[in-house]
Amino acid sequence: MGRKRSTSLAAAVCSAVAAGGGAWSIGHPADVQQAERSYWVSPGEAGAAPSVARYHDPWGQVEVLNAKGPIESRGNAFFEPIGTNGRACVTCHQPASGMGLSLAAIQRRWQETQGKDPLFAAIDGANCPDLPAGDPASHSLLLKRGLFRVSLPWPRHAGPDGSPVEPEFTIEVVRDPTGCNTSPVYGLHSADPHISVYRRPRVVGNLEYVAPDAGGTTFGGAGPFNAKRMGMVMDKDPQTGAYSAMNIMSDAREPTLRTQAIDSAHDHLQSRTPPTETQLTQIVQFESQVFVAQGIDRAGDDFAAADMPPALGARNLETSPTGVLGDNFGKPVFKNFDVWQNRQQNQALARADFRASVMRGYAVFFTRPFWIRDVAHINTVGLGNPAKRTCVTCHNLQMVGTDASAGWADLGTTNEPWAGEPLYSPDSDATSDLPLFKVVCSPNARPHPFLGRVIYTHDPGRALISGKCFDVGSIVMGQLRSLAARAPYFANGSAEDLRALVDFYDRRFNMALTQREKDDLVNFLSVL
Amino acid sequence: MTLRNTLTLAAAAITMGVCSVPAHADDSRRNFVTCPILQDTTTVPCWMADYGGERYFLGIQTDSGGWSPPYLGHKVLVEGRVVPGPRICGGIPLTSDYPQSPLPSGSADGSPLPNPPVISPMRELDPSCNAMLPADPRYHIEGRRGPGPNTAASALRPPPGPAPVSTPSPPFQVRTFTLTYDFDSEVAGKTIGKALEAVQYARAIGAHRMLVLGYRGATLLSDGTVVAEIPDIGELRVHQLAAAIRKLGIPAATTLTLGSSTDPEHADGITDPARRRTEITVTP
Repeated sequence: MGRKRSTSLAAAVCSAVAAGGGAWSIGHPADVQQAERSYWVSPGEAGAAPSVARYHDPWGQVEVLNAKGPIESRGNAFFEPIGTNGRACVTCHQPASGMGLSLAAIQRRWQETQGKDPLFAAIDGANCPDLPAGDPASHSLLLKRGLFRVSLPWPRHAGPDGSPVEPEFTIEVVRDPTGCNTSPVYGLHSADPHISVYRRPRVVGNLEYVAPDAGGTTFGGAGPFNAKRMGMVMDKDPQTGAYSAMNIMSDAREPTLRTQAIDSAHDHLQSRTPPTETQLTQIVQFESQVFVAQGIDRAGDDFAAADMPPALGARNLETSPTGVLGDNFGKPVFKNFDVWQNRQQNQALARADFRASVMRGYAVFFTRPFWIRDVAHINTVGLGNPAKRTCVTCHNLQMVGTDASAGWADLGTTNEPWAGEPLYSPDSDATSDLPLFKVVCSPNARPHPFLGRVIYTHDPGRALISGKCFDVGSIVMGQLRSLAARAPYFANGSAEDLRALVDFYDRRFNMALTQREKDDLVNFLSVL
Repeated sequence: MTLRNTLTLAAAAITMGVCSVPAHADDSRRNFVTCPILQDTTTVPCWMADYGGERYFLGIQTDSGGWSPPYLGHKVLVEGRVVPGPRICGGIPLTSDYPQSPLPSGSADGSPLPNPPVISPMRELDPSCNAMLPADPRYHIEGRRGPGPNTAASALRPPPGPAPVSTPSPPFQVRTFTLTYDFDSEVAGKTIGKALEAVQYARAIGAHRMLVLGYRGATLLSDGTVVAEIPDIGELRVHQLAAAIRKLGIPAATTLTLGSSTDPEHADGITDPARRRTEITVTP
């Protein structure tokens, strides 16, 4: 976390954005200038997901585009409560939150429903299912950081495709503020041992670029081997046998949208039976055609208008080719901003200044080198440690800024000493809300390349699936679109806003960004 | 699992760790273990290493598809020989007979860089390896890929496509596919494609058997000592490779047999990188 969190839970809940509620309305391209007022879509709600809808966010308006035209939500499994707890997929992938889920929306929903919305279901909307219902303290990680509990079996003995997994490390609970990891029912030493980690929902949008079964042509889907010199074969789509890009989930544990939907229906919707084929088809079809991006920026530029940069707005995401490595080969990750180069007559100074800042921010993102150091699965893929490169070294897939290779890496967001959780001090009452684990790797395991064999982590990440010491703390990179609508950031919600996100990188890599460079980067990220 | 079925393979006279044998006669050889040094330039950094009172140039930062530079925080095993010619980034250039990259890696003062030596980041951490030297304007390096976006002509060259798969015809032959490794590493990063070739061949001929053997290598250093890989590296390599082979999908009628050696291979200081290996033998 780049900034110290000092907001009390009650104050945080009360500070949620205050806009009107209500169901979303039917829309069509002609009325995209009028932002939708709804911030929340409830499961089973009648209505249509419009072709193009816009929602206010702190930086302007986010835009959600259904490429197949308006979609009736009633009867569509993405919007229907197909489990037992009243949730639907849309519960955690809200259009007004850029198809993710903002902390502001969570807090407001708590206020409006007194914590009774299915969003707050005890299974994962509480810090641990056995905590008192209705008490904000029982849901503090969701209400303060937007985190849901992810319960995974540990030790793990089989991978997603059934292949054997032999864990290379043990896990000891060092600190357990939620009580769930030491719980006799839910914890690591229970009869059915599980580890609880806490993660943000990922974006359901632009998945043609990310998920192989959405029709995309990502690099990872092209061949059987992971491009990051791991010597590993990628997971397969169990239906087609095609190799997966393994970029959907933060730990890459599900290879396709279809398997992810099955997993989520069980884990998050508490469905007693898997979704039907019809339901799965509906979910995957919906997820494969929805695009999301910032639609109007802080200065009022509408990215659906003519003469706007070709990477901005949801429509450009729909029409651009997928699977383009944007790092080199002369194909910039977010194309170009040439149309903004010259100030037009009568253009407001504030708008011109904002555009100039965005362009400078893109230049920092694209061309400003810094020392990328001690990042497992980045510095170890043939770049050396450290590597003098830029942001697009990792954020290289054109239009979305994910990693074209299977994108898990240990950036340091979950592993100490970089995670940025509050350190114990007798002079401060600041404590981390997250569990802390001590990972001890076996003597013959390939150690974590930069942390060795004893690692303190808040979330072992990919290692909970692969069982490999080398993977401890590695998280699959998320896409950079619709950022403005879905704070906080990183898989553990440790960056409360875009500035905190930039501050993390500045601190982590000693980038020595100037204040103007930070402002420019924030403005650039806000228009994506 | 038959990983513990250690086969009797040709063994060197050493059993583990380090021992001393006469150094090789070729005095251009430079095999040593040391901390790498990063020498920055105005473009991409050079990677250097000190040995015997001299500084050597190993290579430059490149794309991830080519040579693998060392890691600060780890010692590095360097296996190479001296290249006659001017110093690069202040160091005597080293090279090897093992091609590291199918692409040109850049130039120094307008001259192409040599094929880099074989380098292996050592497995365990060493915090004492932390030397970064600031950019020196005397060194003029042009990387195939600079620190930022690169639209140079060489970067526009498409990567080489996969080798065509030919359909074998009877009588089928026993074929062996060899994968090589960094010192003390079980990850066949650059040669993992051989596993796919082996599986494709096994499928094409309806193989009766695939035998996967893992070897423990050793390197004769320039000071006459021999360093051997960790004792169970052969087993670790086979274990990881077998998982990949199974996932690639071997024919139902094919028996997969595994074996490994804990005895280090003979070390000659010249061809040692080639013996850090696994072999997949496909039998009709």
